[in-house]
Amino acid sequence: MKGQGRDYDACLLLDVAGHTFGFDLGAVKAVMPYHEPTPVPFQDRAVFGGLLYRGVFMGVAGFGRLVGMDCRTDTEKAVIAVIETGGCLLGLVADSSRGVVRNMSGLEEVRVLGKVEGPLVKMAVKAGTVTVNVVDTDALTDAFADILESAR
Amino acid sequence: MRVGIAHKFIFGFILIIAAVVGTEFLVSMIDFPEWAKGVVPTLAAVIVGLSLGYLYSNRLSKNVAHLLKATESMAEGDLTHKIEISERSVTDEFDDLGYAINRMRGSLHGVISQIFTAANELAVSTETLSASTQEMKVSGEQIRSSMEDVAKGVGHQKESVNEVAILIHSLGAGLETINAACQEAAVRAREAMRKSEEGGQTARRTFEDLEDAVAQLEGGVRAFVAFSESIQEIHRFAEIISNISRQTNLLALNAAIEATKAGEEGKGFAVVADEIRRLADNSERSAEQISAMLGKLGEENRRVRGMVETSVARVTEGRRKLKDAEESLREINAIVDKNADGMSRIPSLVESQVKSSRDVERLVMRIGEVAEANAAAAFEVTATVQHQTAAMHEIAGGAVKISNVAEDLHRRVVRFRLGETV
Repeated sequence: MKGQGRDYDACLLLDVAGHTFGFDLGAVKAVMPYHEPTPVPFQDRAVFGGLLYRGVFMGVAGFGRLVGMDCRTDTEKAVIAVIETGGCLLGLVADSSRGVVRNMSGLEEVRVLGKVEGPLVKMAVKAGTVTVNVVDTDALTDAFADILESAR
Repeated sequence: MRVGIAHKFIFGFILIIAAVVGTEFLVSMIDFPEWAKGVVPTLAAVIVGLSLGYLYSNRLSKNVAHLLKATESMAEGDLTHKIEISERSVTDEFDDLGYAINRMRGSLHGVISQIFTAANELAVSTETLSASTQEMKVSGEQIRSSMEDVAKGVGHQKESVNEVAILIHSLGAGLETINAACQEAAVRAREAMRKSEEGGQTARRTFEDLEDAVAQLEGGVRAFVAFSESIQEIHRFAEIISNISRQTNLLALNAAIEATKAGEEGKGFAVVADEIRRLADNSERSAEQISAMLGKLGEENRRVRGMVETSVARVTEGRRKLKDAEESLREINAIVDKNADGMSRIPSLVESQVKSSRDVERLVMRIGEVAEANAAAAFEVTATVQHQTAAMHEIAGGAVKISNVAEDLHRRVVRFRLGETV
């Protein structure tokens, strides 16, 4: 798996609406507990607002809403994963974090995707008993940019 | 001077003889023819005789006519006039007869007057008698009717008395039954009183036991409260552990990310980070399990506490009710005691009632006998009244006859004129 020019062959697993999504670890900066972001008016419902991460302002979006699902922020397990794509930081809100999976290339690819389909999911692999929907972080960045652009 | 008729005739005869003798003397004295000497004394005797005869007959005729007139007047009923008798120096039998007729008239006048008065009185009396007998007949009819009513009433009275006697007999029997029931009730009342006292003692003991139970339950509630507070405290600790575990988890996750990014140099650290994360996961799960168990325990504790509190409330309520029940039992005991006392007196009262009812029954029977006698007497009175009514009929008939007789008598008497004396 390739990401930001560095190949870690590992993914961060986040659970959203009962599905597990994998994010290339090269794009993941950190995972932090969910904090209510500062709301930004006149934005898409997927955009929750903005947060300062190590002095840098980043937009925060609900990943579930980006893939057409809902996401829960009312539990203590809710997390915000800080993703860096294209030199921008993006906070993705997920229901919970499942951990890190290494040696992704060795995992069996699932041919038939589950219920989660769309331009943000590039493939699905089987990690043990869990089906991991691997997210295309570049497409994710583009989609977020499009959302921000449409709100402008 | 009284001179009787016979004397008058003797005197006339003497006068005739004297006239004959005197004439013969005169003739002898005077020179009369021989033939005249025999005829003159005879003529003198005839003349004297005729004169005396005429005088006497006239006198007798007048007296007889006078008396005849008076007697005819009396015969015609006129008793008003007396025979006028002139006062003369010489009286005879006609004067006596006039006086006698006058006396007879007076007597007859008196008798007729009395008869008249008596007839009038008799007529009035017979009218009164007739009216009285009529009234008596009417009264007798009324008495007979009333006596028949009385007889009927007495018959009804007798039937009523018999019914009353039966009722009083039944009453006596009922009173005897009541007496038996009262005696049994008195026994049961004493038994109830004894059981009530036992119940009161049991209630007091139960009340004391409930007092202990309430104290223990209240202690249990306090223990539950303390236990609940401890659970809350543990729950808070579990939450803190869970929070720390989550933070540790995220920290380990970030460490694993960094270790992975470090490449070969970070592999060892990545393993450690994974282990830490796993431990954090386990800790969090354990903390969650503890929280869940504490939640269940707290819920169970609340439920049990609620049950215990309900039990305390119920026991307290039961204690209050038991207290009320004890009080009620005490009152019932007093009432039962009073009732038992009253019940024990009832048999003697009922006995006296039974005796009284028997006396009343005897009296009623006697009243029945009296009523029967009254009925018989009423029938006798009715018969007597009927006899009296028949007698009254006869008396009325007799009165009518007497009235007729009185009227006849009055009619007969009224033809006598009695003047103003009647």
